[in-house]
Formats: sequence, structure tokens, C-alpha cells
Amino acid sequence: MRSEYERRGGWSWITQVISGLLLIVLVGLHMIAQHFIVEGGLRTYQDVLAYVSDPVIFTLEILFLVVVTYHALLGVRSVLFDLGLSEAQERRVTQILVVIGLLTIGYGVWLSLYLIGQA
Amino acid sequence: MSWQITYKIKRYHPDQGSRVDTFQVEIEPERTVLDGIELIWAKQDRTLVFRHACHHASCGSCGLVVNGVEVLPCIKLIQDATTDGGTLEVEPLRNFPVVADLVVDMAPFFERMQLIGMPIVGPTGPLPGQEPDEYTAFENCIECGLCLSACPVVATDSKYLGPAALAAAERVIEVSEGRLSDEVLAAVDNEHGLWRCHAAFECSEVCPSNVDPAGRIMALRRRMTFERLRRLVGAKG
Repeated sequence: MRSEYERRGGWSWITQVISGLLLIVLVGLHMIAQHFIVEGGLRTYQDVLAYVSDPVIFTLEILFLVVVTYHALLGVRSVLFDLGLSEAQERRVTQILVVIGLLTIGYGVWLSLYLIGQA
Repeated sequence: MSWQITYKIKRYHPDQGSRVDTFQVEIEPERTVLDGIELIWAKQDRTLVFRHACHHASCGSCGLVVNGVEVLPCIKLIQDATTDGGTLEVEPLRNFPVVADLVVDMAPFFERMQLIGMPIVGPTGPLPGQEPDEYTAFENCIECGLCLSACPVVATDSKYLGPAALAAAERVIEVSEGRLSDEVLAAVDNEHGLWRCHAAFECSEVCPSNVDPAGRIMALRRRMTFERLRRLVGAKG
């Protein structure tokens, strides 16, 4: 359609859509695994330890954590940008949200690995 | 049979600030909101400033916010806007600088159109393979600015290109592949361009000419998304 020009933005929207679609699948799997196939609807502490120790479950739950964090914080970013921030403020908001996201994911991964160590 | 209507009109004068004036108007329900404003101007207050020309939704100059919704008062019937004994709260368009009373400076609208090259697209009718029922065209745009007024993103991002300009860009691409220059595409494919839209669809809701700007923005987004993905995998196109 054309030659070259500077593209700005866009990937955030595209990845928001993709992560939204992934969430439908991952939330579904999470709900089924956590609640619908468990006798009584809730696991005991020991059951949870065994559950997260399964490499497939661990991978799926971490993927869920990453996707939901990315999707949620991107939504928060979009809402905050609607406040009419300056470009410098927008950059700062993005930086802060990236840090929050990394801390959230880091804590989730650490907690899961800690629980696996307790199994 | 006439109805008794209360007009609450937002007034503004650079030297006097803003206020709301109330006028009682006796008017037939089949007449328009603009007719009522003209009656007020003719019989009650000759200082009321408002803009109009054609009286039939062709010039796009009379756009207002009536009871919170963007309308062309020249085609908005009294009976469709309120009831007998009801009130019409009349304000100037949002997201535009107010010049006086109900008149706004349309420069933000035309500056955005200028940014994408003020494309003049001749009437084409439905494109090949396009059903007449699906046919909506930017050529129908009367440049009334209602879409910019209703858009919640324009209200928060002054750099946002806005519905009309993006709809025009999509129509140019649709009618003639590749006519947009890199400069224009940079303005459209931009964080303040088509990606900024929150899909509130207010622009399409208030558009008096069935241009469907929101649908156009979504079409432009699909087009740009597929093109980016094609480029990502190295496909030529």
C-alpha cells in the first residue's frame, strides 16, 4: 500500500486484542481446573501444592498470570491516558506500570516456585 | 396546536463569561428546535448568537447539543426532542472553542481534515461487490462537527485525529488504494490516530449523514492490523 513512514502506537491495541482472546481460553482453563473438576469445588493446601507442581499446570498458570497482568495494566494505561496527560507524563505512567507489572509477575512466579518447593 | 416549551440556552460572551438564559416559547411540535431558537431571536432576544443556513441538514453549520445530545437543530423536531411543557437545554458543540453563545470555532475540525490532506472524494456510489444497503460514504459528510463534539477521546486527547478525518482517510484508501501519502499515513497510523479510538461509537450515533465514522475507523484498523501482520511475516503487499 505504501513505502515507509514512522508508525507510532498500534501494537498496544493489537496485543490488547490478542491478550483478550488468550484470556478467554486461559480464564476458562483456570476456572475448570480450579473449581469445576475439584471434588467439593475447593482444594486443600496439600492439593494446591500438588496442583502447582504439575509442570503443565505451572506453565499454564504462569502464562495466565503474565497475560492477565499485561492486559489489565494496558487497560489501566489506556484509562490514565484519557486524563489528558502530557507526553512526559504518559512516558512516566508507562514506566511505572511496567515496574508494577514486572513486580506482579515476579511475585507470582516466586510464590508458585515457593509452593512447589513446599510440596 | 402549539406546545409550551422552555428553552434553557447556554450563553457566552468573551467579556461577560457564561450563563444560562431561559425563554418560554409557544411552538407547534412539528416544527424544529432551530425554529424555536429563531423565534427567540426574532421576538425575545436579538442578541442571541447562533449559526444556521440551509435549514435542511445540508450545510452542517447549525450543530448544537440539545438535552445532552449532539443534533442538527434544523432537522430535530420539537416533538422528537421533548414533550408539551418540556424543556430544551441548548448548548454549543463540545470540544470546540466557543466564539459567542451557540457559535463555536470550527478550526479544530478543519485543522484535522487539513492534516490528512483535505481529501476531496468524488461521489462513487457503491464500490464493486458492495451492496447498496451496506453503502456508506464519507462523501455524505457535511462537516458539521457533531462527531468531534460527541467523541469522548477528543475531549481528553487534543491531538486525536478524530472521527471525521479518520473516516475520510479510510474512504480514500477504499476508493483508490495507495492514494494516501506517507505523511498522511503517519498521521493516521499513529498513537493519536486510529489506535486512539475507544470504540465508543458516539460519532456514528450522532452523525446526521450516515457516514458511520466509527465503522470506518474499525475498517481502517482492520486494514492496518493485517498490513502490519503481513509486514511482520515478511509478506509483500
